Amino acid sequence: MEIIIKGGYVFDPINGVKGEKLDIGVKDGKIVDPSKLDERNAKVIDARGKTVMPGGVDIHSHIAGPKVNVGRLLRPEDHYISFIKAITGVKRSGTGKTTPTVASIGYRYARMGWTTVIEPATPPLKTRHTHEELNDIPILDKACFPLVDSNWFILDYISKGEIEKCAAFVAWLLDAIKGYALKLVDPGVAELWSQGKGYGLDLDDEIPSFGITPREIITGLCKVNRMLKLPHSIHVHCNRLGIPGNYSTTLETMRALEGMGDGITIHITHAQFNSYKGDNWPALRSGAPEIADYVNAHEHVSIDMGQVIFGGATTMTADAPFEFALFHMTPIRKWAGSEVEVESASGIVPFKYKKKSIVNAVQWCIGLELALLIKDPWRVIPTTDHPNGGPFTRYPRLISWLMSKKAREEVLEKINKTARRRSVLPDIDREYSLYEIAISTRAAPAKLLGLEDRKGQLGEGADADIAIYDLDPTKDLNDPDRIVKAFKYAYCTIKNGETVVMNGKIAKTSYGRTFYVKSSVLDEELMKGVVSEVKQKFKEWYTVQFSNYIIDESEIRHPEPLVMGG
Amino acid sequence: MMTVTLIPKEPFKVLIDAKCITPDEFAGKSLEEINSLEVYEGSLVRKLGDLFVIKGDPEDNVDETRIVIEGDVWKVCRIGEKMSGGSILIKGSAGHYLGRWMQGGRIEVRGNVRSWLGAEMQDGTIEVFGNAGSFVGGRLRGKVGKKGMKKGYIIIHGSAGARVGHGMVKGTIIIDGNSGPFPGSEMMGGKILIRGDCEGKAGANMIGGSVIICGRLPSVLPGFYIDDIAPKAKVKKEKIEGPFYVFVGDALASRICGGRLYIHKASNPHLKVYEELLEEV
Repeated sequence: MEIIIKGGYVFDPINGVKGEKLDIGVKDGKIVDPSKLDERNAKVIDARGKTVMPGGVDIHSHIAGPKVNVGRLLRPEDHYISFIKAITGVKRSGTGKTTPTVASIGYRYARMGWTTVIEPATPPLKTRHTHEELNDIPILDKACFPLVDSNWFILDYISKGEIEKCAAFVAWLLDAIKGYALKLVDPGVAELWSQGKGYGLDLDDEIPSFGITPREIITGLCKVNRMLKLPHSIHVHCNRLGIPGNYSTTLETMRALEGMGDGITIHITHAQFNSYKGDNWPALRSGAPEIADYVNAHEHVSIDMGQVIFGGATTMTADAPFEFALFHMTPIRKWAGSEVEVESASGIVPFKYKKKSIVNAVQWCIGLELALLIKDPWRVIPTTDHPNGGPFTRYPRLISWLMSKKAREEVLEKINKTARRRSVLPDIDREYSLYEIAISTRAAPAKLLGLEDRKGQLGEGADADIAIYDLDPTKDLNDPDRIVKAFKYAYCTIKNGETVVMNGKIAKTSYGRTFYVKSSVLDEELMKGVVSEVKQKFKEWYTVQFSNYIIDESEIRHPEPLVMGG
Repeated sequence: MMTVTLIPKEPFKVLIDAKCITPDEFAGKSLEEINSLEVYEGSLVRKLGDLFVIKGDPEDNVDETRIVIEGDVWKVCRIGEKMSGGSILIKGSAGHYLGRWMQGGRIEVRGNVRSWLGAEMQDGTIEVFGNAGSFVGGRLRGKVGKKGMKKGYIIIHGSAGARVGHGMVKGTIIIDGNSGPFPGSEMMGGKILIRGDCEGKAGANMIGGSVIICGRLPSVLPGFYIDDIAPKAKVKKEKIEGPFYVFVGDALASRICGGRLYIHKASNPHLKVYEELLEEV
């Protein structure tokens, strides 16, 4: 099918297009030169007075996996609130606000113009479940990051100093479970949690069962990442998340990688939860200026915000001891926790962020301060860490806060006064331009994921993932509500050359690809040796069979391997 | 008072979602408008007039509106949802969620009702001449905090299922027959009177309110302490002759032990062992 998008203001940062009026052609799921298409055969979309951007890329959003499913079970009340009606042949039904059902995740992302979403934490043993859910998410392209920080094999290899073998294991693991990049959640904490400890584990505290520290895990896996030439850097949820005074730990984590040579990068995820200053909760202050200064001065770090949105949320993370502590702090008296053998743990607590709460108000300020104080939009991605900081459906509001000081001031007037006094946010005048929004929500995450040749851009040969917003950049940008409305309901979303959203309504249900990485950098002898070693230990450590652990390509709806090296 | 009468055209095959059958929706509408109100039959959108023959003249005033349903509507759910006044009379059995979020008025059912009768109701009166399902006056699944029945009066002349008054905050529930397990679970206030037997586990996780059981209770949960023997109990100015064992609890839910269990002494001879504990104190 051929589509021509005519006369829109195009924002395409990877190709340096800053709001020029251009035509875009789509043929067979790829972007082509519009002059080569015949207008009589093609479907013409009139985009005059509208904004055309590449499809959005979300680098961190918990959309699938056992943890999300337990969240759904834990929060039936969340499903009374919202409801998507099924239309036979067009879309499936769904419910849920902070923990939406599988189909509604795809539809809501597509309605906002997002087309690629990453599930950032899945325990390798349970990744089969994650893939089953990813398969059922309509429209989106997706990938998942396996949790590797407390995996016994990896801890074992790092404690023995066998980085090459560790790399071989990681390469095998990514291929076996069809993962994309390495996710570290509070490195080492899940291992301690299996012994009932682990709250507040710092970067240089020892993990007794293996005799190593989180610092060694991070640096070790960083080397592995470079050795395997993985497309994304290591994706780190820092130690001591959600504990006042943790900004120093975050700075230390970033400093730990200095001087390790070229090719060492780190992505600090939901940095807002890791930028707390102060000794206790009432004295909570923002550590965002310090983090931002460091990021501005060092090239090897990228972050995503983890912005808090006032309202309901469901916190879910593999950082189980923190969730257990959070459960005792919240008035909503329920939680769920679990431990995955050999690999990981998790906890889930429903939460509500309140404007008048000093802690929540400071958290709200920190996220925006981070995004506004870091000068390079290529290295700070707006996310809400869905559903930890708030549901992803609030991204339009988040974009309006970034783009308009007026919108921020409206909220600042309503939040806790002490929090407002402590924050530097009222003094920040910076406003993101639409071009910078296109960078930080599209080009930058695609580039960080190593997918910039096909996602997050509108150059010829890229995937035809396009979002058209009913927003005129010449006159509509002064009105924050206009921005919210435009981003909430995209005028048109094109996914893989098919129109999936028209006038803010789902027009078609299609299914996207699942990306995973095949690294063939290492030599085969080493790989064979490590796999046979793993097979032996597998019998000792796991309750499942080795052959059942491996996920076959046929179990994924549209597999899309990225072959690295070789 | 003007009456609107609904007569089912034929027996229902699947569950019907008919939250529009309330005095609030009917008031101020002509018969034609009432006929064209939307209901769901399974997943299909139908008109109320497709399923019922509707007669009578509606009234402008909500409090003066009276709805009479002639026949069995045991597959019709959410009747009387959020009603704030007027009355509904069902001359048969009714479905789930009868009188959910009800804010006032009166509902009378001559037959049985299914689960979630008067769920999360704010005020009003419900009278059932048959039996009721589970979660009478209860809060919906997953909700936490003060979300159960807030005020009002539910009387069931037959028996009730499990979890009567789950999470209820205030108000009164009277059951003339027997009750299933877990009456008054997670209760915070209000009163439940069960004149018949109870299947057990009364007041699990309760932090306030009282449950009065006149019949037999197999055992008292270990989270309860015996406190007293009371000569009589009182519900809505009615005095119920005892004597009753009074238990306080549930210690697992709160240290204050604000909940009260009144258990009839004469019908529960197997609980006599608790009397020794009472003497020690």
